[in-house]
Amino acid sequence: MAGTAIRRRLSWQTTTVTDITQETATAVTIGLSPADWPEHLAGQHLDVRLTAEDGYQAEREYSIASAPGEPLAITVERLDDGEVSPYLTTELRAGDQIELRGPIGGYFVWSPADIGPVQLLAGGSGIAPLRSILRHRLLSGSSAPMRLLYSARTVDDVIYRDELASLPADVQVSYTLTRAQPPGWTGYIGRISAAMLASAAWPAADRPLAYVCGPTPFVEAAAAWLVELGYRPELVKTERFGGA
Amino acid sequence: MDLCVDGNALGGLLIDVFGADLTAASAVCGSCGTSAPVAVLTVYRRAPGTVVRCRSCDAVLMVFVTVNGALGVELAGLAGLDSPGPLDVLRRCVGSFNAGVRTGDFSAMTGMFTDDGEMAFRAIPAGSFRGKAAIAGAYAQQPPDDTIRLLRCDCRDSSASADYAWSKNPGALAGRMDLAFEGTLIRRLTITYLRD
Repeated sequence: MAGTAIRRRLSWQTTTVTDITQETATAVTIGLSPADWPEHLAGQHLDVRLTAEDGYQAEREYSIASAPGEPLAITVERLDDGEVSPYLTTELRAGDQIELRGPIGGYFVWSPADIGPVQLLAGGSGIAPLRSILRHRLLSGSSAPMRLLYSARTVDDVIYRDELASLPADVQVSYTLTRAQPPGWTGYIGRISAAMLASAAWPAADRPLAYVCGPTPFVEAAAAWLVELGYRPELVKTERFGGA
Repeated sequence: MDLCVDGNALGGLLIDVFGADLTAASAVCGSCGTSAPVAVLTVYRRAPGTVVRCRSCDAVLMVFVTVNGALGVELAGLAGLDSPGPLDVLRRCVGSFNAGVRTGDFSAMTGMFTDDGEMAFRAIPAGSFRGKAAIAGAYAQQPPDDTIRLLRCDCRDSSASADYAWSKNPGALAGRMDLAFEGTLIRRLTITYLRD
């Protein structure tokens, strides 16, 4: 929260990759075991730094995909023209070492102390911090009502597919597939729209808190429509990770 | 390619510069006056630096450039940075109340209300008090004899609700506070006792 930021030094540390899980053709979840790591908040991110042989350094932020208290993990999707993600998704192996620092972020975070309804909107790998929120809800015993609308290109691009399918029944999960749909698909089709949100998201009258994460155009469109539907702008929290 | 992101990505950089995570702080644009959380600002990261712009008017608010290992910071476009959110006001309110219980001086608590602020009780016949003088009088006449601690709180834009317990029985729900804020002051505080 604003004004309560805790002063501390944020130091880079070298940590070992514990395991790598291939989530989709382009996304992996990387387990990490930093020695000095205060418990993170659901929704926070960490910074990863890669150093090339010639000393060139590149840094990127990755959302933490695990819940507070769980072993630390990030989910990374390969961007073909990216500087960092191609290495993390195709070269990195368990046992390798990478540099990171964190946890970081005080805005795009959810706490079980907030008992009101929560609307989660994910575009592509924007699901990662929302997965941390969903797992935190489960592990903390929170009964905050939650709904998730997840936009992906195809069903094979859906990250955490099995996990999302096994969420408790009181978490409503909807999907929209923008590029191709399997035969018999009963979910939404096409890019997220005002009409889709009107049917899949909490009504504004419930005063939901919204978390929207994905590529910039997705976030811009989705957040604007939520506000149009009557969501209070202050309660629509956004995180954009490029794409524009 | 991820060259244009938002202020969430500034978290680490702002900790480097200010020693605190400021992504939830409010940034006020010096050009158009819009106040927005740092997290929603537009961030461009084309080498050699990071440029932060207002999402409303596109004015440059902050520039960070590293030259020869030294980080240069330019904040001239900002009219302001940081202002407390509802949770902070709620915490300060509880702190002031508890300080009043310990010292007998509730002036810090009274000072948290707007001039025509109101304190009301539900479920006990204490009534309601409007204005700082009336609220100060209520604390003077019937000073609470125990400090409180929050059990859970639900903070929204300009209001907050919190369940609390008396410190002598810290696990037991004692009541609920509903607060309406005006900036960093309390416009109305309603206390609902749930049990004795």
